[in-house]
Amino acid sequence: MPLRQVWKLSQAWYGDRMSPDFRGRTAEQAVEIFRQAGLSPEFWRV
Amino acid sequence: MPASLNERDWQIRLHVYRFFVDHERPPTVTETADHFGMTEVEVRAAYQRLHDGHALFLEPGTTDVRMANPLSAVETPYRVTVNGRRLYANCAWDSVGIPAMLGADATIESVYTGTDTLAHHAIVDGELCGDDGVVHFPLPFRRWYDNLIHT
Repeated sequence: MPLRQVWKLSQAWYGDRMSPDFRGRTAEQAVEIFRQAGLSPEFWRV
Repeated sequence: MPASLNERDWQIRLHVYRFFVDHERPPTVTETADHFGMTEVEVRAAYQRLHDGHALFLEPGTTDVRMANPLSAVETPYRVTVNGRRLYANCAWDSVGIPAMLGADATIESVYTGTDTLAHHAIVDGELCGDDGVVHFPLPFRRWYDNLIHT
């Protein structure tokens, strides 16, 4: 995966990781982040 | 939220992250116990629940924090300097995950897998700078926690 795409994915994946409200991520939320990043549904299946 | 994690567990998790960034290492069980006025037994149990819930990752066979993704408690080929602090990322993805998490500019030094070649990147004002690179994900996402250190 191009590093620039990884950077965009990281912003969605890690951007809220130190928020006091962070309570983990549901499978559905993870799938949505991967989908918005244009990633393969099979490889990135949760 | 994983059903087994309570509100105090999440507070402990956040404390681990903040301490990790501030001190360039995770807090020990004793340090966390002192911070919250808890016993070490209580903190060890909380660390284990956070590990089981994939909210932290413990060094196998211990209650020492090995990973608070994207942060690594051990030196890795992915060194990130951000806000004057030197932090290690668990993998190439996590090397950009640290500035993403902190919302800060960063410089990133990475050694390409299987080589001695050093790559330099930076995050400046939310943009990735430096040589283009490609990140290889050897395993599908659903298998990462089979062996997270290897992954």
